[in-house]
Amino acid sequence: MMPTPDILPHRFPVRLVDRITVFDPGRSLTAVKAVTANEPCYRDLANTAPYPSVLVIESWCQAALVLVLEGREAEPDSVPVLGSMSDVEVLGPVWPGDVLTHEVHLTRSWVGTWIIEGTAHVAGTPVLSVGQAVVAVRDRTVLEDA
Amino acid sequence: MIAAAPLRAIDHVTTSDGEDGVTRLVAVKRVTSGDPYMPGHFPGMPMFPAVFVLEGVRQAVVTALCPESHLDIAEVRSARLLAPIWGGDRIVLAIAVEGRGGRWRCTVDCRRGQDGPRAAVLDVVLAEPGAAPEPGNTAELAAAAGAVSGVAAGPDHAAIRSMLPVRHPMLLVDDVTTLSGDTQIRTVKAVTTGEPCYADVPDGAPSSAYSYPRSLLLESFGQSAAVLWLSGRDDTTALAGTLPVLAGIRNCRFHDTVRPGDTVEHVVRVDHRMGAQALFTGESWVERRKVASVGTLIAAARSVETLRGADLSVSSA
Repeated sequence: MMPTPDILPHRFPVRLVDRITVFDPGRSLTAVKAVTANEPCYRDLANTAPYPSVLVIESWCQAALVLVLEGREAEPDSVPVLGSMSDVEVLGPVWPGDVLTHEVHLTRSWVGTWIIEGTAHVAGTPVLSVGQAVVAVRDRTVLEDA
Repeated sequence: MIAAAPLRAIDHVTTSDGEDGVTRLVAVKRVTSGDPYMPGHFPGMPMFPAVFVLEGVRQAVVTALCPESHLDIAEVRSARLLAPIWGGDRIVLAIAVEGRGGRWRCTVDCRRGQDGPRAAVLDVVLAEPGAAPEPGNTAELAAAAGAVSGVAAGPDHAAIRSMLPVRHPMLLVDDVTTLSGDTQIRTVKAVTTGEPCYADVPDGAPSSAYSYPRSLLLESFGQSAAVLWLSGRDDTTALAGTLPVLAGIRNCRFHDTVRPGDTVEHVVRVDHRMGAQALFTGESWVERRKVASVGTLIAAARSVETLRGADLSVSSA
């Protein structure tokens, strides 16, 4: 069965994955996120601007997280966090009306840690490349004390 | 069933049985300028979007008659918008509902206050989505693209913003794909879960709860018509001091659902222009699925003084 974005801990207005379209458990997935001028980030933009790159990256990371979370038993006291990213390249602007397609691939993993790489494109034009993202699952209390 | 909705479009609804299988509902809504979507429609002069009266009808019938259903707007047989609704107004919807074969025909009289001036008269059909889907016609979409000569790239993002008197969260046109003279426009509106209408959809809700509100889809179509209308006017000064408002709808049908991740493409054509009014027709598509068709949409350029001052009566709507 295709995962739904409900598995993410993110909620409105920061849930930035609309749909999973391809899912290969423990290996890869494809997710889409449509971009519209009606999103909160456009509230205060007096003039037009491309979709913020940080939100493109966040959206890609959420797609990566779906891949991680779909392979695990639910643990109520654990929180998935982004540990680090490297070789991240923003390759082009994203505009309202565009649909982001995220490709994420698991390259390595060990207990509680996953290494993921991938890309994002809009109608075949690359807009983001991620060489490596490290996702870790941490105990909620550890995070709260940190 | 909590489904995506632009706002709580009614405060409460009461039911009384009428005759001949007709159920009568009375729904009340106190409109406030703090209601969701109001600040963007129109900035500095927040007016209750007329399409939200349609949303109110849907919510009233679902709440009163079938709370577990996913009833949605299937047809707007006719709608006449007669007077603006402002923050502070209390609107009363008198709805006569006749259910037959899974379709709920609603005849609606919307007034400002119990016996106040008439704001809208509607003839709407509600149905479960998918009850009677109409397959998209790919040939028709292709024909719509190529039928008109003189196709050019439309106004860019900045131009759309400068043209339309709406802002976040009510700016429902993302891009203009093509503008064919002053006769046809193709626009794009992407739908995502980050939009305010999805704020209250609960975890674990079925995918049907994510159906994009048809009131907003219609508003998006109407805004596309406004861009076409305003782009085509050489005498833009004639529109100075006016707002383009929705005056009426005839023969609008919804064929399929729109979900987050979808990109809606509106194809809007001018049917007729007559001074301060214009008639439009068109369809809305998601890839090759036709999701809506609009027989006639009537837009009117109203002077700000007229809107503020008096109740309107719209001719020929």
